[in-house]
Amino acid sequence: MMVPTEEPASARRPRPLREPRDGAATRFEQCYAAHRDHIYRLGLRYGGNRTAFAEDLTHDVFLKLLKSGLNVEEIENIGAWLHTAAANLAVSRLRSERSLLGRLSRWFSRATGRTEERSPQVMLELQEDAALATRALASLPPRQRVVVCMKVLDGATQREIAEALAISEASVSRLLARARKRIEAIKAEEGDAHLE
Amino acid sequence: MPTWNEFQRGLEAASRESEHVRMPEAATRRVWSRLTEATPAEHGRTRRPVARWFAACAAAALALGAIVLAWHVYRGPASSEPQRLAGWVVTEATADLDATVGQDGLVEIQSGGCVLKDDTWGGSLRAQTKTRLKREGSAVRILSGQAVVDVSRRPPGAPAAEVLVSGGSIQVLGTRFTVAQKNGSGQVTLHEGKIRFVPADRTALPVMLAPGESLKWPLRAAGAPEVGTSSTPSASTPAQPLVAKSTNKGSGAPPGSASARPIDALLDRVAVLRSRGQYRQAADELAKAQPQRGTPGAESASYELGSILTYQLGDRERGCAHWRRHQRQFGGGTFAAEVRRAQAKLGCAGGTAPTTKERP
Repeated sequence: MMVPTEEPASARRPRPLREPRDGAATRFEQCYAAHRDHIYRLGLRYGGNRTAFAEDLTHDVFLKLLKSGLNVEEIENIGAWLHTAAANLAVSRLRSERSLLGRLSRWFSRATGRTEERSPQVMLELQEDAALATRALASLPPRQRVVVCMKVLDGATQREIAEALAISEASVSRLLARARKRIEAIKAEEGDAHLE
Repeated sequence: MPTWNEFQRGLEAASRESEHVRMPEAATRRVWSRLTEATPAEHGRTRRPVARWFAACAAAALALGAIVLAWHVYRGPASSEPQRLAGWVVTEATADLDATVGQDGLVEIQSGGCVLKDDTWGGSLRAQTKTRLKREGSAVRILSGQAVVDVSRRPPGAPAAEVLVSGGSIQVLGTRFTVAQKNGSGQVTLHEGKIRFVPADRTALPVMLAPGESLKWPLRAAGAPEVGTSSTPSASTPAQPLVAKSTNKGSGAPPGSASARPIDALLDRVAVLRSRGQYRQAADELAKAQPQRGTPGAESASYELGSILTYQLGDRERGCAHWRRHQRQFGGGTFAAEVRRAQAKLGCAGGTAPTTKERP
């Protein structure tokens, strides 16, 4: 089994999956090839355009699929399944980053040269409004950040968000209200700073 | 306020602009490699927990460093390698210490003072100016000068620490005493514990000393007049004593000199009473005399009274009151450390056993 990518044949190939070795492995491979970019983009979105975050999130999502023992074909909407998994795992990962240990971990990563640079490709192409919005999004707490993305970018209803994140609709409503208040406060602060 | 709408538009714009972003080739290979290499047991391990592990180690190292730093600040800077004199470790020294070591291991304190410790010998010596001493086998010979010897208590069956003087040897089983040696004569004064003086003349029997007692040498033949002492032999001494014991402790008189001060007569009477075991009478004599501060030997007499109340009578109430009075009168004085030790023994308020540094 080869890496499902368009890399040149001369490039280093990773070792094949140890298990399962049957057709399920091939289907997993195909699933990875088909959805990895979408999950990676979600990672960039939730992680404030940090490539390392997006890469780790992509790994976590597909590892979760692998560990679930589910056959890819058995999942009715694999895209939605992966999207939901990405949202939940992003919340967990962002929360752990906010902990003291997470901060130390990121400091250590920087000290050892593992930089978490933002994707230059994306950052260069973003217009000023988009860049401001991305920064404002990145300042939100983990769950608010994911809820806002699902609401604004994915057009999900509050019920769909509640089901995906396993919380109540009222909680989704509260999270959105708080996020909105926070975004407006940030905007007001930026406006004041700009005037000064 | 249109800010929320602006934010939504900006976010949508950002999303549109990043729609064409694809996962980089290198990242694709890395993630796939991690997925394929993950065995079921390792599925839970990702790169982030590894970084966390390092972070936890860093946090632990920081905490350890903080503890070490706090300990360092609390204890003061680490002392440098201890100074040594002919195999002795100098644990304390005055600023003006000038000591020389001869070829035969003779240590001579030219000026100042120091505490010399030797664990193999089993104790320490506080040597003062003009003291000359050296190791002889397992013993220590005091050639001249004065030294306070502090020997830790020996375990049962262990050989006694030995101090050699011109008149014989002092065998120590865990005690504290002062040795003064000059031109073939000298004196030992026992502060605590028990020592045995073994005369150089092996025909004479060894003499046991009790706390507060002194012994002078050279030893004289039986019946010879005793200078400055009037003690009677104790049960541990031979029937025909060749040795003279006294309690003229700390009088400051050089060894062998006659006692000419009035206080010495009092101390001699006390020595007689002590040797008879009449401690209460001895204490009463001393208490009645109560020499005032400034009187020569007053401090010694006061210490003598406190010593009897503490070690012989074990009278806590009178002892503590006396030591308080003694400290008021003489302050630090010659016996400061002994006083604190006695207070600690009686359990007086504020009495603490002196540390090695505080010992005279």
